[in-house]
Amino acid sequence: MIELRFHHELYDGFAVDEAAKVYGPYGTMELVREPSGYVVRVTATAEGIAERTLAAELCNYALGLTIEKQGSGEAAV
Amino acid sequence: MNDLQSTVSADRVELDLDAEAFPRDAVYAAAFTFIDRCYVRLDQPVPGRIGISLRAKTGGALDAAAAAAELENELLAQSWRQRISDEGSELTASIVAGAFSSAAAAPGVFVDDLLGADGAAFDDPLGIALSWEEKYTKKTADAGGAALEAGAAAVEEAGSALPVGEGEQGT
Repeated sequence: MIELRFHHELYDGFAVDEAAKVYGPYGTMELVREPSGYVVRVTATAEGIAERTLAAELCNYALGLTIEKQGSGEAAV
Repeated sequence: MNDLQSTVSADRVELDLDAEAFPRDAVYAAAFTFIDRCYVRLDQPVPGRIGISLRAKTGGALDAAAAAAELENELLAQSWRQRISDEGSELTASIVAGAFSSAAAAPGVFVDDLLGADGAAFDDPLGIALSWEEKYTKKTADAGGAALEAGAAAVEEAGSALPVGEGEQGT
């Protein structure tokens, strides 16, 4: 299991949630909101997918979506 | 502490920067340029600082020193771009406002010219400004009414001119 921490000032909550949903079919995602930010616990379940790669791809997706939302005028929440 | 501090390892680059020194949009834009070739993470290790970490994607090679230099360059370039954009936004807004205000004033001037100073309708001898209904339907109805009246008068005249009993002889 890998624990990812997304700071709430840097990542959009909806983007993190969306990223977890997108990569949900490849592993178990546990989302928790903490005062410092959003925590996602990733456990890979799909055959042939490294847990580290899955977590890193989820991070990239969340960052990309956060930037996209910032560009469209939505603030990080 | 410096505005920018980078740490380079074999397959990883970590950049620590002052959050106040660089606009947030510039940080995002700089990070986004690496998203296709690296795994990018943003973090806030301590309040007021932002950490950007780049890691090579699986199967890809990363020249860490070059990536660190490129990230720093990109960060400065995006900050500069953001500053120019902010400085130019007032000028852009004033140009747009001027264009809209002059466009809004122009139609009033033209309409006044057409209508004249007192706002009376302009001369239209050919009836171009009239609608089809005004131009034809109304006239046709008037003409029909006038014809009916003229016909009734003619019948009356003819009836009074006939000698008494003349009509009966003809039948």
